[in-house]
Amino acid sequence: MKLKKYVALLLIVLLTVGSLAGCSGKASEEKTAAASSVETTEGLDPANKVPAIDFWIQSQTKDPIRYEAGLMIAENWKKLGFDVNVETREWASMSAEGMKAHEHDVFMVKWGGKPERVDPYHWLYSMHNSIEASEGGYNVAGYINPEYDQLADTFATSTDVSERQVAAKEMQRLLAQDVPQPPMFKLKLKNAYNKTKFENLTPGIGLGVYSFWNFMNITPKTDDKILNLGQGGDINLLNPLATKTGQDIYMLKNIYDPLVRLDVNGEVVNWLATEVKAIDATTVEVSIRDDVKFHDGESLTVDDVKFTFEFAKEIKSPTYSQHVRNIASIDIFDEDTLVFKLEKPLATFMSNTLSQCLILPEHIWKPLYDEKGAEACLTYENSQPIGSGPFVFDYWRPNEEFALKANKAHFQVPKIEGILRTPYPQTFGIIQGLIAGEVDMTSYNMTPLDLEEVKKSEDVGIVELPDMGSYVIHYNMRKAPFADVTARRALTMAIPRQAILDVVFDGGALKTFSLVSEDNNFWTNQEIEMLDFDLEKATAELKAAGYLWDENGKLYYPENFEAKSYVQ
Amino acid sequence: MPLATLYCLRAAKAQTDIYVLNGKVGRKMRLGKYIGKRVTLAFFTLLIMVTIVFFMFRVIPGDPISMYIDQGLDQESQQLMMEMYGLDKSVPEQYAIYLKGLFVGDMGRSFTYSKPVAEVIGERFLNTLVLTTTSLMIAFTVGITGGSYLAWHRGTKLDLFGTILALIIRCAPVFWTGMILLSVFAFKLEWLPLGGMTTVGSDFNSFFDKIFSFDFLKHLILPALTSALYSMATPTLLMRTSMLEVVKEDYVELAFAKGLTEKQIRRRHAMRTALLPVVTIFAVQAGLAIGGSVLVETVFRWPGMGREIVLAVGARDYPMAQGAFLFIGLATITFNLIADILYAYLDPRVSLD
Repeated sequence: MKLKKYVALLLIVLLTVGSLAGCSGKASEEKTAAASSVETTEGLDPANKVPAIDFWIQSQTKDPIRYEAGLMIAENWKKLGFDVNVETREWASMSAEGMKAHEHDVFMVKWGGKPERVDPYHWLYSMHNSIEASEGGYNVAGYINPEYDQLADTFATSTDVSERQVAAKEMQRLLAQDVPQPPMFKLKLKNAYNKTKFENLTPGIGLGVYSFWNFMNITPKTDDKILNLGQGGDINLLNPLATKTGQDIYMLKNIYDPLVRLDVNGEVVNWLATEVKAIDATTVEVSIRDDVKFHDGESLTVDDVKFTFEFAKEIKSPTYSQHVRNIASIDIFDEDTLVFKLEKPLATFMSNTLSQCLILPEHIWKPLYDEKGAEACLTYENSQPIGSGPFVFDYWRPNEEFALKANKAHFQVPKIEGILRTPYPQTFGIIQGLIAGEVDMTSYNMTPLDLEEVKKSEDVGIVELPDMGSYVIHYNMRKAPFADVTARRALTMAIPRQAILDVVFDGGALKTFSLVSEDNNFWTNQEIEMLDFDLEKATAELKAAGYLWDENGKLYYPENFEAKSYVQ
Repeated sequence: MPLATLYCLRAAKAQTDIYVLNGKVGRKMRLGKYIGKRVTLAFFTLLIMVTIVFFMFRVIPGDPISMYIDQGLDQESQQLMMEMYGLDKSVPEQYAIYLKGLFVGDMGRSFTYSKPVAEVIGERFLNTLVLTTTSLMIAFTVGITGGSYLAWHRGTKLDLFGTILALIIRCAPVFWTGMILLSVFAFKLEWLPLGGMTTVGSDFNSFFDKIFSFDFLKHLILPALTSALYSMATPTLLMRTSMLEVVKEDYVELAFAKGLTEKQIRRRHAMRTALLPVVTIFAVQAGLAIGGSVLVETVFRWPGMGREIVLAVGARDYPMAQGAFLFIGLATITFNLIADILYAYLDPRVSLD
């Protein structure tokens, strides 16, 4: 029975140590952050206290970067005298209450730099014009500035590229000083592939090795000509009219063809179209190839093109709606040419509308629509997708593997024989798969730790590419203290960018001050105010605007304070 | 196993016959009534569960659309998608539609896959079934023999060691066991694959072709072992306790007196009788195992029900998640019901009121 005694004793010791550890963890959290360098005022009206900030961050397991960076930012905001409550949230709830309902105080998002965002319409128009500030809109911060709106309008509708460029640069300048939702970091993307089996990698802007051009150009070095792609999640739905995830769309872009595609630099190149001509601001003439066949052998004609756009509009496809709603009519001019009439001028008609709308075969979708109606088309599973693209659908076993094979009859034949896409629930599976030779390529962004791990295998090569997206901190200008530009500027200057780069990203990222990446040479403006980490300047600006500090170093508004939403 | 069950049934039948001979014919009728009562109860349990799950998903923050806003869903697209999913209707209305569908066997259409939920469950469930059947078979074979062995050697160091080991394994989180096994057998020794059901890119003519291939077997070992280890302790400990009761019985002593060998007594006389509670717990465990495959399937990239639930909840695919929970609930409740009825049928001492 001695054994029992020992076990009991051990348990008691363990419990005591455990509870002690729990207590000490709490104690260190209670840290009052007083701005020691500022003069304090006594007897301030509690009603004027700057309200506490609820800062939503993601859990450590889901996104360690946003978690750690969030804690470091909160620490520095406290130093300015703000009260900050850090709250860990799941993405589903953060997106519903923040991205959609705009009920947040502040949270962080990693916006993806897709090729269709190389034209900065998304960053500059959608994310900051006042129309998008209502529920569900992209203007998450609620930035409303009439001067900006005017520029945005010119930028969105002008067909003169240099006029748009001037507007874009001015818009970036305004955003950099008003900081409604400033970008903080952009990644140095690192993708891995098996260099003994494949060569000629052609990573594209925004998507890295997941780019369409890479699937077209990557060349096998051995007899194994199937590219095994290891990705974080599975595709979901192969219906181009109803899918909502990027992962589905990128695979569908291999199966279906659009009229134009965006090349590795995000420039428009003809694809199904042989010529795209703007007749005037609202009329576009498109000529198409006559040698394209769908995977079932039927020819792709102007009728299919006309049908696709009209059909998507008719059945209200959520995926196509943002692209097709501006199309007033489409007329067939001759057997290779169509004329698009637009409701109003749209600068991104080619780079966004024509490149994103995949052409569907009329002979498959029309009978379905006639027979079963719009809802049936939107809920159609499309389990055997028939497109005209350079890859043909082979099979899909959900959560297991998804296979495409090369379309030898296409006007551009891929160098590989096929793509085999495997979903991995955890990233360690992808990494171990790369080392074991089970995975040939992944668009997963390798962390420094992963890079260390893949050194075990001599077969793994790394491609580096700039990220067009960035980590953005979304303030909510509908609420105090973010309604006031001085507060936003101070908060932005309290983001310890360099420290986060060193500690959290371990050198795997860069600071960024404009949503339009500096690698996007034509559109970016780097001659803007760059509000980097500077607590003293932040304090000085707050002081100049009349903010006060109490004896505990907490921030107060002056009497009769009126928030200014942007720099005048 | 089947032999043992047969034996139990035969024994019970004999006992019931005795009751009939004694004039207690009423038990059979009462048994029918008892079953009816249990089935009604099970139905209402299920209905309550369905309701709770339905409203739970509406209450938790998040929706199936807004998490894709950053990928390029603008205001109008979001609205159209809400309509497409039927989420523009009020919650009571959605509930009524859902219930109405359920009564005609329609669980709705998955938001993510745009497929009837029943179809998705059907596909994934086959994969889960192969895994759970294998692991339960291992767990109960080892558990029953192990448990009876431990009981036979009660009080020895072996018994102490075996019992403690069973408890430790039972307490280890299943994902942890899985990752340890993975790191040893897949990463370090490279004997077994990292995960999945088959080698990436292998093609099979049919589901049965697939599950009877050597490649599949290699992929099955680690996940089946992980979940078997976890569910092994219950039959082991139960069998041990049950055996300890049985060995005290007179007929065991009589068997010794007859001069039978120890092995014969243990296998033929003691084990068979001791099996009764284990048989019933098997039904309960089978129900639980179907729901409990979540972690094992995620760790081993197994394309089954468990992984689907994780994905569906994460994506707020309401119909899919509701369907999966309903299915698991149904399995658990049905197996419990079977266990209850079986017990009442096998053991005449069970009250039917």
